[in-house]
Amino acid sequence: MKYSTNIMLIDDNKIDLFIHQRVIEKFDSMAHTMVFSNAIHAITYLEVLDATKTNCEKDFPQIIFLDINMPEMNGFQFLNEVKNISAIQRNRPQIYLLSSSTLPEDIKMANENVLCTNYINKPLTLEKITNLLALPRPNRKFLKTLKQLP
Amino acid sequence: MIQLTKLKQLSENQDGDLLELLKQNVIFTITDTLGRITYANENFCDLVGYHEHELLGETNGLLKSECDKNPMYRALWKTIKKGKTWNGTLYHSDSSNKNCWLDTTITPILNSKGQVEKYVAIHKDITSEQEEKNSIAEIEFRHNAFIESIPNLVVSISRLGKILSANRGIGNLQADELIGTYVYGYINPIFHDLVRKHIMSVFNGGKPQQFETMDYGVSANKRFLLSQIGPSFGKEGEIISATISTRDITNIRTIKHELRDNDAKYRTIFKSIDVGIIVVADDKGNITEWNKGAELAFGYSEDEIIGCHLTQLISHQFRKASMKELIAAANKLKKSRMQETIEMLGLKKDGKEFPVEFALSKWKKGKNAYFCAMMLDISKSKSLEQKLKNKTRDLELFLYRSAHDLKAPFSSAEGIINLMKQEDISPNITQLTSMLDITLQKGKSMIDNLALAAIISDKNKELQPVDFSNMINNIIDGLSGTINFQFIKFQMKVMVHGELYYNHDLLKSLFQNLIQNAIKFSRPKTDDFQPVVEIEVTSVRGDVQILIKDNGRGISELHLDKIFDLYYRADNEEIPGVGIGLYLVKNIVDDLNGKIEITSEYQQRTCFKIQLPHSTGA
Repeated sequence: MKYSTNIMLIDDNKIDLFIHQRVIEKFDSMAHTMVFSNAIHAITYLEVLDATKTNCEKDFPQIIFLDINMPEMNGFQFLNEVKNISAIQRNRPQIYLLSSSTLPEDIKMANENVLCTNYINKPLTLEKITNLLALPRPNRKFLKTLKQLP
Repeated sequence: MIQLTKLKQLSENQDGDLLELLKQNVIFTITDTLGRITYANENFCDLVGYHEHELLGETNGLLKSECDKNPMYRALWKTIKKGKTWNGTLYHSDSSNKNCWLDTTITPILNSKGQVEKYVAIHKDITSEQEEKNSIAEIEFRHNAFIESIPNLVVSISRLGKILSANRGIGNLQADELIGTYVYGYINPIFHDLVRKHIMSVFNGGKPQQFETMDYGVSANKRFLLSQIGPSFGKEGEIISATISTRDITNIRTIKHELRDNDAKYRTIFKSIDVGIIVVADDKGNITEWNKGAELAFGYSEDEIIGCHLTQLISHQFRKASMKELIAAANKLKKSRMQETIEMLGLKKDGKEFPVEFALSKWKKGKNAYFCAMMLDISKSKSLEQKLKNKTRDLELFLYRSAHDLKAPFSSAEGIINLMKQEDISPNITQLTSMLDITLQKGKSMIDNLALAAIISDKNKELQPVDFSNMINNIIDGLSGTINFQFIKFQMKVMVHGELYYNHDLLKSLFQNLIQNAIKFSRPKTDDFQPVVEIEVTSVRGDVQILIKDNGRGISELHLDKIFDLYYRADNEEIPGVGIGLYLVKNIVDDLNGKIEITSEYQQRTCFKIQLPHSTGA
């Protein structure tokens, strides 16, 4: 039996959440989206999921779209908290950091984080999501080969 | 005369011994009635400088004649012609101009008929006595002249104030007219008691006193008089009179008053200045003056610091360097007297340091040079300066951050438009949404460039060694979110030697802008076309050469010379941009003293070639 893809969206901006949700629905109408406007709530959800269900793979998100700039807890703090949850270790979801900012520091930090699959410049578009999901970590791979050049 | 007669008799009696004795000790001549010398003894010959035989028969020059213009000689002759003895002092100047005075007694010798037969002149050399007398007279004359010429009025008075003598007059009165009047007549009545007290005290105690009186002069102007009174003692040591010497000190007093007033005024000003720190030091650097401001600033009281060395006021840390600067400044002062301001750290008594600004000036008093250091506590301005710096940095950071934060709503709007494009909408609306899209893209890139400009405006950044490969990789990573990125093949070649120092932020913006441009203007990937961006960094003759090549849309020759202008955009509505990017690039290259060249072929390729001068950290 094929599960529908669970996608978690975390963003403090409700409009962005709506946009991302719609884009994802366009991409995959079967996808199941979980929407959080607060990173702390999202962590609580993941922890509860991890603690209560032995067989949580069915409900655990395979993909997380995470905003960087959020009040209370930002994207990097979220990544720090979430790495201790055992289900995360087991399932290794693809986590994409989303931000409208092009601050070089943010991009650098995102790429250095082990949990982060890639960095996406907002807004999320059908085009971007197609490219990303069709080629998981394409640019990382490419960059690694690039660095090995003389 | 009787003696002389006896002498004559003795000589006549041939009493040779006695005559000889006389001849040896007395100067004497015998002259006939007509004044011709008939005998001159040896002493006389010595005196006048002639031999006896030369003198005999000649007129006695010493006695002149009865016709001489000098009344003394006329009187002499008159006397002796009458047969009377003449006594007096005769003056003789010999051939060698040697002066001599002779005390002379001329005795006429009468014959038996009672007529004058000859004259015997006995002389005594009194030159030395006479000269002494003359010199005394001269001294006395000078003394009198001196007394008269001294400005002081000197009077001697009795116990009651009666003037016994005076050296000069008062007002219209002559000196001798003063004698007998009372001194009180010439003194302002308000000082009578004072003067009386002093006179009495001199007469009673005998000690000199000094007092000041004030009077009105002829033209009713105030005159100040300083008098000194002292006792004059009699032979027995008793006080016989008092001498008052009075001097007009109006001028001196006025000047003194002004000086004292000025001195007091400036001292008060100097001491009470508490905003400025004024320290005066001698040429060895020892502090001689200290004002209130200095006390407030450094915490030392005047008593504590006077005599200490100037270095005590300078922070330990900077003492050596500061002293060097001070000495240099002082030496400069010697040459040009220019005022030099120095900034240094002052050291308070409690060990705290604070920044001061120093202005040195120098003057000479006698042989000693003095330095005056005027210091200004610039803690406040320094801290304001620091605050201003922080504020500027905050503002720049704010600009940078807000430029980034402003992107969020633009991104949201962009997302909404993308969703709208997916919906079934009328073609009219589609056109509008695409226009809205372009507008939004413009706004976004404008904000991008604002963020970059914020970095560049802050040029005052330190140089750091640059790892080009790492920097370029980071930039490419950072650009991974941009359109077309995933289709492009990047090729990088870095070949530089040694450590190269550049401003990181500037260099980053440079690469970012150029690589971003290359991505933005790439041609779409097809089966037989692969968009490529080549980045090459090499050392060329000490310079660093950066090549950024792409096989994108290229730039038409028409636009090539304008692309670095502000707000210039190649006419291409499809590609977002506001024309700031390359303008920034040009500015950065200029900032780094480099050169930038562009070669391009429309719809084929573009190549930016940048040469940056090599700079090492030192």
